Amino acid sequence: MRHFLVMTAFAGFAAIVFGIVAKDLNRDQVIYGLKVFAEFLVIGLVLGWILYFLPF
Amino acid sequence: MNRERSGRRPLRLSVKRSAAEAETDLFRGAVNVEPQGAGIACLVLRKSSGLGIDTQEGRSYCELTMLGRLDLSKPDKEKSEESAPARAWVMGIAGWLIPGMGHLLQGKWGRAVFLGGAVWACFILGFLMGGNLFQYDGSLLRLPPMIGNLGTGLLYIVPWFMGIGFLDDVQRAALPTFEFGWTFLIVAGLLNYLSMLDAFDIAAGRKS
Repeated sequence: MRHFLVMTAFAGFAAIVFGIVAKDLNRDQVIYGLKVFAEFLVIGLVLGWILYFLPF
Repeated sequence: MNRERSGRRPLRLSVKRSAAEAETDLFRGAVNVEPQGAGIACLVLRKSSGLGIDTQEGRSYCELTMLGRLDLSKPDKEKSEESAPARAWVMGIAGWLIPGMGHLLQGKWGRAVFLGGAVWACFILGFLMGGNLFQYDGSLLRLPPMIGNLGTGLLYIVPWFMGIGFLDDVQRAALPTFEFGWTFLIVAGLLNYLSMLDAFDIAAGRKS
């Protein structure tokens, strides 16, 4: 659970910066930030499960 | 007189030359381009019809075909990319030294709070999780993380002068969050590089 919380915090910080820097309009910034946030979480979870099954 | 197209905008070329000059195939000379501000400063034209004479105006004329053009008058955006004002550099450096300051000085409160807040929070969390900063000690492997750490500006420079947070303390390294910690510290610096560039672009007029 601690790992997930840390990953969520990381995704949140990165999403805030990416969203604000990449887009100009507030609405676009929020949408892009949420998208980046979700992508970080989903990719992190998928990678976690893939690595879980690797024997090395 | 001839009509040519530049993209979707029709151009009317008004040519003033003597009959003798118009005998040559290649046209080189002053051309008035309408509408004004079309952005074309130099045209290469080829005569594509025989010479005619306008008896009423007493001018010679011929059909001209545009072979190429050289756009010398660049839009304002491109001009601003060529030379950033000194103010932009100041804002960029301020944003690097103190995360969020580059936007704060420009009155971009929202951006300052969110961008600066994200960097500060990431850095503080990294320290609280037991992370350590990196400095170059002759090992090339420590150079990339040090460059990342350096992105936080004074947040890196001050501990560097004070000698805080650099030593690989065994007790800190034993913390389960140690790896997260130094990762957060590096990411804070990298995020601040993006924030710094954003402040620079806003001051240079490239972003609103």
